Amino acid sequence: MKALHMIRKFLPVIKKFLPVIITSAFLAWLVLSLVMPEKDNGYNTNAFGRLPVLANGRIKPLDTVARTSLLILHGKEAISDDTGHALKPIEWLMDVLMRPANADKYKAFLIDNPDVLGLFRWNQSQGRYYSFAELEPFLDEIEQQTKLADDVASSSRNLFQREILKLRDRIILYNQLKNSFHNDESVDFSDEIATFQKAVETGRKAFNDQAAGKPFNKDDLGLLSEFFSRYQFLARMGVIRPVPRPNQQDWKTAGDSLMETIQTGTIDPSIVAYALMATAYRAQNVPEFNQAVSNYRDSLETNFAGYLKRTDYESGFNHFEPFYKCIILYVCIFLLALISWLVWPDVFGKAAFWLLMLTFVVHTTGLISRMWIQGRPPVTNLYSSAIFVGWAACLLCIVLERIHRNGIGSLTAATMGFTTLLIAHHLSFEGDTMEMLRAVLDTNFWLATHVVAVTLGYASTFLAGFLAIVYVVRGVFTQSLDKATAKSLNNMVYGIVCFATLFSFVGTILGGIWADQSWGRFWGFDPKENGALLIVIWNAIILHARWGGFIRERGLMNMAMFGNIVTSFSWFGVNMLGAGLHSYGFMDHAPFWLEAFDVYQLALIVVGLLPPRMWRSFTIA
Amino acid sequence: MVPSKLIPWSDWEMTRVSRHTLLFLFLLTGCGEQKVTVYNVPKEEAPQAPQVETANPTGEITWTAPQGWSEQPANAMRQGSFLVGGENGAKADVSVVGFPGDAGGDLANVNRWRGQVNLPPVDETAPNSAQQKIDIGGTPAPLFELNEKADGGGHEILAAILHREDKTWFFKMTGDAALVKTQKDTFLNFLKSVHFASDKSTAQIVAQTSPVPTEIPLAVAPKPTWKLPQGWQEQPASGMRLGSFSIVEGDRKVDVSLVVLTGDAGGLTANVNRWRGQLSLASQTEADVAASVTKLETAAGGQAAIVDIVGQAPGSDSKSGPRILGAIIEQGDKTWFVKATGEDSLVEKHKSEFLDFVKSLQFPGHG
Amino acid sequence: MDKLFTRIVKPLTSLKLTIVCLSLAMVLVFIGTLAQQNMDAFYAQKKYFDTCFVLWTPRGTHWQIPVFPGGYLLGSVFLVNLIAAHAVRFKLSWKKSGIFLAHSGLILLLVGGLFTALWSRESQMVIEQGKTKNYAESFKDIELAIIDRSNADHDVVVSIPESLLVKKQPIQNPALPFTVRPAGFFENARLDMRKPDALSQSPVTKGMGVRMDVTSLPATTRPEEENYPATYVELLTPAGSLGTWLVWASPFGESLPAQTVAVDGKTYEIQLRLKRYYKPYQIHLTNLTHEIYAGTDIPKNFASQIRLSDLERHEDRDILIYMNHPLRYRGETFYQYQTLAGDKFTVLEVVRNPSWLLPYISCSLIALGLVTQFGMHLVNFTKRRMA
Repeated sequence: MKALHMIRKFLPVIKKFLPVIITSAFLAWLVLSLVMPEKDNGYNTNAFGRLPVLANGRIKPLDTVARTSLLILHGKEAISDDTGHALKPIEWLMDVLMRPANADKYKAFLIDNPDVLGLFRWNQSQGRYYSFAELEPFLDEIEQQTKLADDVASSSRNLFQREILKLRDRIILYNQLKNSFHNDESVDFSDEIATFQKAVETGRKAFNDQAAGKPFNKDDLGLLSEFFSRYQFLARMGVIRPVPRPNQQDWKTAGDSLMETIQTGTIDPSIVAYALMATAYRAQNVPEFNQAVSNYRDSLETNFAGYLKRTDYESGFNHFEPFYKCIILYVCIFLLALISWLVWPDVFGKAAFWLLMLTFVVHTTGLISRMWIQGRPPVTNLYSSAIFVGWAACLLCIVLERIHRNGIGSLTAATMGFTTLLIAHHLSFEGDTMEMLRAVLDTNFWLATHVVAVTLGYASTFLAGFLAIVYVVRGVFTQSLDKATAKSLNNMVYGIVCFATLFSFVGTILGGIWADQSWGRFWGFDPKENGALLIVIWNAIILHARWGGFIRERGLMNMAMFGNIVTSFSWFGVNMLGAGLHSYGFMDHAPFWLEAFDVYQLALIVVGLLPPRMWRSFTIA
Repeated sequence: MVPSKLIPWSDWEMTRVSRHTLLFLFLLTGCGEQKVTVYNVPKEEAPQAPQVETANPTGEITWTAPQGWSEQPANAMRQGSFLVGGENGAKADVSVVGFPGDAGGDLANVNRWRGQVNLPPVDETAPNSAQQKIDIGGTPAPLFELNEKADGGGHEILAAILHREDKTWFFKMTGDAALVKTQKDTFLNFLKSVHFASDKSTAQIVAQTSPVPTEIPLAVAPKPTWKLPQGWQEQPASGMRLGSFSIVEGDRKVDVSLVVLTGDAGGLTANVNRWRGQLSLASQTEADVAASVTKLETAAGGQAAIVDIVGQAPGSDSKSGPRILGAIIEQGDKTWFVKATGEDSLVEKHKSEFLDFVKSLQFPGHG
Repeated sequence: MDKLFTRIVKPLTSLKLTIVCLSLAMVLVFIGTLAQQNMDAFYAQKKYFDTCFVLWTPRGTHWQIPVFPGGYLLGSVFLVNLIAAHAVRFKLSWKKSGIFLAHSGLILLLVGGLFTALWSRESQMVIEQGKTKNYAESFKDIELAIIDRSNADHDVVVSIPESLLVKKQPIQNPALPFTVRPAGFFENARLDMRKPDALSQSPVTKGMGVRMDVTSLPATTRPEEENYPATYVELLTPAGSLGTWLVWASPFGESLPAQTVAVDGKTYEIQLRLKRYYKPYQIHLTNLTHEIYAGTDIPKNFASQIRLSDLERHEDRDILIYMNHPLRYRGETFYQYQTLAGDKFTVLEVVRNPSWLLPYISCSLIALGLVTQFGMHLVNFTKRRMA
């Protein structure tokens, strides 16, 4: 009895401070994860991960290379070694680069297609992950199958052919990584390059002697030839360019740099540094490894400080994982908003809203960080468009929530934020999401104007659709759609549709102007152009139907939900057609999810079309 | 009755406007008949390259060109083109062509080739049985051997078809049957050497061997400058050659190379005898070599030793034999060799150009 | 007159018609997009958008049945609807100024689109490194060119467009000493050498086509395929026929010797080729660069360094054309389109579009109108909330 009395007494206080407590808790979590140093068992993996290399046309920290490579091969960023001990991506990469024999034993390759597994006489019950060592005996068979698959035109390949080609590409990537610092069977790289240096001197002498017709040392010449072919192989294989140069385009692979040595006589200091690291790591000599890393890092400060600033930041960005954190935050916001509709609306509504604002800050930080690292406007590819749609929806919903204060804004922001970030996560499996832009897209002005406007158009059309879903679900299945809420939703959807019309139209027009400036044609009925046009037309139809009195509240909601289908076609569907100038994105499983989404929307529209007497909220007097 | 305030224009005006608008629109979209046009154009050169698009992005396909095949410039259709010459003016033409898609299918193309050597077309099953399987860059492919005449005269076509990714590649040698037959092995080796830039072979990747190169880039000296004579084409430097040039006249060619070696590179006599050996001539004594060599002052103020060696003409006919015109310049701790190799009469023709070139050489740092 | 108004004009002004047009437009755009999976954009545009009706040919017949309104029809009806609605129903007022602006912009946009569809012309210039060119070629249009090279300083070209070749009626022109009778045009054909013993069913009596058989192939619209047209041509003089030739737009590019006919001491060349647009100036490709990002094959930039020589206008200068930076000259714009054959050839896209300004004007109007209208809405909304 006493306890209950106590609680009742303190209830107002709890209610007053709950939003603050909740938000502070999350804030603390965020701050801690930012400032807490990463645990590492001796090896300074952080410092190693921050070393800059050039890969895929961009200078990035080794940490990014580790994460994206692991995503491509493994489908996720967590992997264990052969003893079951969990490895961070950078630790995995260290083994691949410097202790490949160990790395071969880790189950890095994701294979889940039953036909591909059947090729090796394995089946899915044995798991989805396999090591290179397990695959090695089957390389010939894989080779044969991929030759057959290569013959088929890419648009007519069946699932098995696509999967086996993917596996082949992943095996190649893995081997390229193994041969990026040094040849993978090299035992002691420092020793090797010392021998190499001597061999260059003696070999050159022998070559000159031979050319002059004098007696020459055949062995010396032979040794140099061997090194030459060895490093020629290394140059061909290297997928990372660790040897820095002032000009971004000139960074070299280890192999190229060593081949240059044959002419210049000296080995590039970065190769020496990496060799020291490799040797120390092989010998499991932790202090020497850390020393080599820190020495190399210091040497870079003199000439390459500019690059280091960006790669350090990117490394920090990788560790913070802002978008992953946002996913968690959005889920919590969703729950808080939902609870606010059941009990203590003011308290939980406030909590949800404040948490939403905090999440918006994190989301924005992530977005701006990407912009700074790349030096580009926010949307450059499909991945970044998904991030941006979530961000824009969040912003618009903050405004809506501020005006209407009924939790709908928060809930919708959470739903859209979560969904778009999930889509973005699935789009990140292709590799580096901060890829270089091909020539025709290489213009920051149009990326900042046309692409941003169109993406805002997508975001707002989706937002209107999601708000409409709230209306229909609450109206048909619950009694909570009272007049005030309905009116509020009506205003929200109408306002957002106006916003969507404006931005999708402006964005489409800017696209036309860009096309006119770039290839002389304002409009070419390209699939992506058509997709954008469909969104403009649909939004225009909604507005005109509303103004003509042909639809009212329910009609507006249903049409807004159909807008979801139109937008998903325009955003993703056209990419799956594989035709036209806009085919810059590529996905495989996406068609299924797209269709599922569309069917789900249609079902909701059908529900929304039910006569009012079947709506639980409308049957009350 | 329609309220008048809704009709700002009279009905009559409205119908007139709408009629004219529709007529205008119709005329605009109407049938623009195209007509014959006549115009003058300035005189043109030989017909330009074709408009059909086949892209060969940089280095998409590469190969090792066999000795004796004269590489012709590629155009938008032919990614590779060679001329092979044989005895008695016999000629053969080799082409490498890539098409998107399946280019009409193997059967249609085989029949097209059969038509070109006046053979009747064949039906579906024949192509699969009537040919060899050979190796194009590691991939097996069918080889078609089509003879115009059974007794070995007339024309012959040796062709192979490779399907790869979204393209079909045709490798075809066509010409005098006798010549083509002798060139068959060379053609097959050429096919083996074909390499596609996008070739990804896991076995290749895991295998550690790669061919030992015959040239190791050792040139370290900064390049000298020279005045390039008219008509000399410069080729990219490679390996030991800091400068590489050629003088081409029809299907005769003179090859000029500029090479540097450290030290005295063995000395004058040794090098002269090395060149003599390349022309199958006996070595000379030091005295004889010294006597046969002439001196030339270079613009830089140094001295070049000019060597002129004529080899024996092959066979008993009067066709001229090979000739080496060389210059050896000692400069500091290095020795430079300029060597022109070619047919006697052609080299003779360009001898003064060669000497001018040698004179014009300036070596950095030493003037 | 009232009847006329009620029956014809009033429906034309109705909002219902607007919504119907918009909805039909959505369906058309959607179908036109799906069609591009297998059809090149050029053909899809012709079939669905640059036409009054979308036509369907049932299998096995040659009928063309209109099954859906095409771009021109929908655009025209929409345009009439818009103009009529404004002329009849809308009253000019400040409140609706935004809508007026937006709609007038839209009208201008549609009209501009029509003009562009009718009057714009796109062609290409393929120039080899180090070479000069003074003409552009159509992407798909074909012409039969008869060239008289007898003059010392110029050639006379008589160009017969494809539409006349299809018609089969004889063509006369004062510049030609003979009548050209098209004897059969093939939109897409395969040419084979005839077997020595086979009977010839071809009408060809002269030129390279004498020993060739022509097989007509179905014209393709797939984006990765090309059509190879060919035609029979008979040349007639009052004295009789000079012969029948087979000319084809050679895909195999090996510079074939020209097919000729001699009349009255003059030799004429006959060629079937992509339609050429000669210019009074020349473009010389000095250097072509194609940069890629290090370690990838993603193109970073294409740039053509050209020299423009125009005797008429006393122009002789170097110009750099690269992605997003075209050359605008003499009413045409030259864009860097792509490169061919390992960067030995540059392809410039040449666009003539006299109505290019219209979209810019109309878009400014529409944007202004929308911002005005929605701005007013927003202001009213916030005013009400504050109250």
